[in-house]
Amino acid sequence: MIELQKVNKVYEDGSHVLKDIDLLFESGKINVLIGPSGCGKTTTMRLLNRLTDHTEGEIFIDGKNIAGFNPIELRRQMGYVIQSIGLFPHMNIYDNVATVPRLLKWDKNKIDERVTELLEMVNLDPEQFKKRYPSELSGGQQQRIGVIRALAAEPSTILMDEPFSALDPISREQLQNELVRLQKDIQKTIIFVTHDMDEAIKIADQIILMKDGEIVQQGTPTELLTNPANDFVREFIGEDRLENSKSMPLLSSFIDPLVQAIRLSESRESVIERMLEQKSFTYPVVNVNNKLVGQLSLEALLSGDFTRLEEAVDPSVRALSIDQSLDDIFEHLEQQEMQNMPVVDQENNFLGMIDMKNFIQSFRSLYGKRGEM
Amino acid sequence: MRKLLFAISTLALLFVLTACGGKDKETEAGGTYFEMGTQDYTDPKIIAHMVKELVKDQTDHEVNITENIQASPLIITAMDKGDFDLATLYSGEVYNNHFDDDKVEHTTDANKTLAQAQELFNEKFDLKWFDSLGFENKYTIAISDDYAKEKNIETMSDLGELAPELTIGTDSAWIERGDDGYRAFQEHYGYSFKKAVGMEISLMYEGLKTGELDAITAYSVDPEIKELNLKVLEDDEGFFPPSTASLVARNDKLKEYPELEDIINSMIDLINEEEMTQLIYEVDIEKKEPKDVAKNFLVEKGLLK
Amino acid sequence: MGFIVDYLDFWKERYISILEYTYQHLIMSVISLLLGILITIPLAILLTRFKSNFLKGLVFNIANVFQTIPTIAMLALMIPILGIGMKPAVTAMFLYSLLPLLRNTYTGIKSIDPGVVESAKGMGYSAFQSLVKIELPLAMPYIMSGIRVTSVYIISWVTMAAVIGAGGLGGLIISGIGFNNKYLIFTGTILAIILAVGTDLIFGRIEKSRNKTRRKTI
Repeated sequence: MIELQKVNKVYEDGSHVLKDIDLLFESGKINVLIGPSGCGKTTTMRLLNRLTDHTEGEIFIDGKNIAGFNPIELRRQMGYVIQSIGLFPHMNIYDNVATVPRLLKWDKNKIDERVTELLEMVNLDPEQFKKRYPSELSGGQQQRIGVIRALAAEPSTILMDEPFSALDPISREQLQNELVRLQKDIQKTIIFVTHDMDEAIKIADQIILMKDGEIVQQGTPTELLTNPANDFVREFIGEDRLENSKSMPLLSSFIDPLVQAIRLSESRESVIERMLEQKSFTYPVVNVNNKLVGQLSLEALLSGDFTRLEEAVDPSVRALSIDQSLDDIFEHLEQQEMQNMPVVDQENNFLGMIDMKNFIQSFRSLYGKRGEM
Repeated sequence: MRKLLFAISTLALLFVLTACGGKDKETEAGGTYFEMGTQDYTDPKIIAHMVKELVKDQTDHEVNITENIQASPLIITAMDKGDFDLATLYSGEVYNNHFDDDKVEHTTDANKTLAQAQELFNEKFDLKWFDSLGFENKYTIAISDDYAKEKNIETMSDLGELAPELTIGTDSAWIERGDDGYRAFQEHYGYSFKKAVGMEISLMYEGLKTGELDAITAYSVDPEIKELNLKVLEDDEGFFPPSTASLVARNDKLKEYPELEDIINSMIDLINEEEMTQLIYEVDIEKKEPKDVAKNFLVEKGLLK
Repeated sequence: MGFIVDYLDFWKERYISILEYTYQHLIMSVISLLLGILITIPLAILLTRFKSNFLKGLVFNIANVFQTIPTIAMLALMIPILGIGMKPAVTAMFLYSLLPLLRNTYTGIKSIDPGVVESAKGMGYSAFQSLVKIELPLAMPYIMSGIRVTSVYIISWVTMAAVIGAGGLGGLIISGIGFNNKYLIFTGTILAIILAVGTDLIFGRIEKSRNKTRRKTI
């Protein structure tokens, strides 16, 4: 846990860039510092690895005052990723990633293992990439290396200063997704600076909005979206985003918890019985790993000669993905005429069923509102 | 703009070329210009000014002096080409690789050396090498007088015992010269110095002053010999060839202008070593103008009024 | 071709002293170059750390002034202070080498992507480590090319040193002029050219092989 208490920074020329900052960065969470240029977000971050020092106040990392730390030792304990990436051009990827472990004098085998592990973590084939040089990689690949380089020595905290801003939009999105995915495994305390509100909303566990060296609001993305503290916050987030966030509830809120999928292990009789009871004549079917395998209709069950349930399953059913866009969903609607649509996650785990009537009703009411505008 | 610059520089170049090629220009009085080249030491410069004064006084012609040519061989090349009409040269020049080895006999006899010079330069370069002006300017070895007295050194042979501990400074040529250079010297006298260093002539005297050099190859008319109180060692084994000074001129010019030949003839045996050393002293040490020194001497000698 | 025989005789007679001149020439060149490198590299590093443009400008201007003094004048200026011989020659050459070496090293370090330097610092390299592991290796191509160019200059300038009693191949040339020996002039000249071209080739090779194993641009 990182704590800033009454931190102030005044430059020699008198400019007061940080004013009484009180801040708690939660461990294992992605904390995003955001604000207009010159608000102090980058300065705040750089206080943490002492690339710059505060003039008043205290900063504690896990209860210890960082003023007592040797700055170089401190930096070796933290990951640092910057916008211009800054990979060392004269060293290959292996050497770049191995930088901090080497500084910490890790044993060579341990370093080898770690580098391989890290490259695999970001889906870059170690054998291919270890010997390559930064100039041979695309921008997106380079920043992936930048990120794993920061992770190499297993720091508990990672500082990221607009790390994806210099990338093309596609790479940027990929890396944002990757960061969120990685974080599920690594659970580091991440301090992330950005000026891009979409990025912040997408990745943050906690957003800290700053202006002129002060904190204007801090909270989860939802909190900021639903309760902006003042006009500045409202303006900064932007009316569009505020509106969008109020619009369609998440797909997950439509999932009917009472509907259960049929398991392949069930018997034909019990399935028929259930269908008749529920008065619902098609059901999604999952396998023993809870993955959706298709749908089963009463018709199929009654008609066919089959020995096992599997053979009666119609695998052609398409399911909604939990993070699908609205356009996709409507395409589906056109193609299927199911009363209920199964919803799965990215790994095809069955999450539940959606009552399509409810869904369309909500959409109509929203659409109607918009039509009035 | 570019074209203008180009035109101007072309004109300037042409101007310079014509000015340089003004050999056949006329003097105010209707006579011609003689081109004379001198080396970078003082005696030829003084002689050149003497010639200039006499020519101006006795004829309608004038003399253009080009000073500080690095070495005598360069002057000879220039004379051969016609860039110079006359110059002061030293008879030892005959040993300076101008002629095939079989033509030149190396000797330390002054007369024989002069005779060879006169014959060979006439034959090969069509130059008339006149008889001596009256003084020699040859290599000698000089050391500090105190040191000489202290160690009782009179001759070059005497120096031999101490030479292995001594550093000698010489002009850049002497180190490499053939029959009268350091190599031959070592053979002839049978000893070597601890170190022999070639350098600009003026620096040799600097080196003696600061003590970096123990001995130098001085020239017999150097005024510094007197000024720094140096002892000139006797060439007891007769190694260094004589090097008498003479005026040398192109035969074709002499034929065309016999008055020039007359003037040069009038200067034969004009000035001896002591007198020359004194004149050089006035220029190098007393910082007088060579022009004035030359004129005064001619007046003294009655060749000028 | 009688003169080839003559030339060979010439060598037979003089090869020891020719080797000596060549040796003197090399010693003077090498010492001047080494001194130059030893002083300018730390100095250039220091300059990149300075914020004051005035100071930087001053240092470069001084080095520039040394460069513009004609060789003979420079040698002459050294004599009252250092006497004659190799010492003033080496000092003069060293002063000449300051500007090209300084400029190249300085530019090399300044040309490094600031993001790289920032990363290095943020990751926990000490100032010294950053210099040795990151900045100098990246600036090396510029530094090497500065050394290559300067060494070729020095070898040609050292021919003038003969005038002040420092020996070197210039001695062969000047003696040759004074004594009208074309072989001396030729030999001195050709050896100086060989040294200069050879040095250029050797350093060029080193530069090339470094370029192959280093990628400098991102």
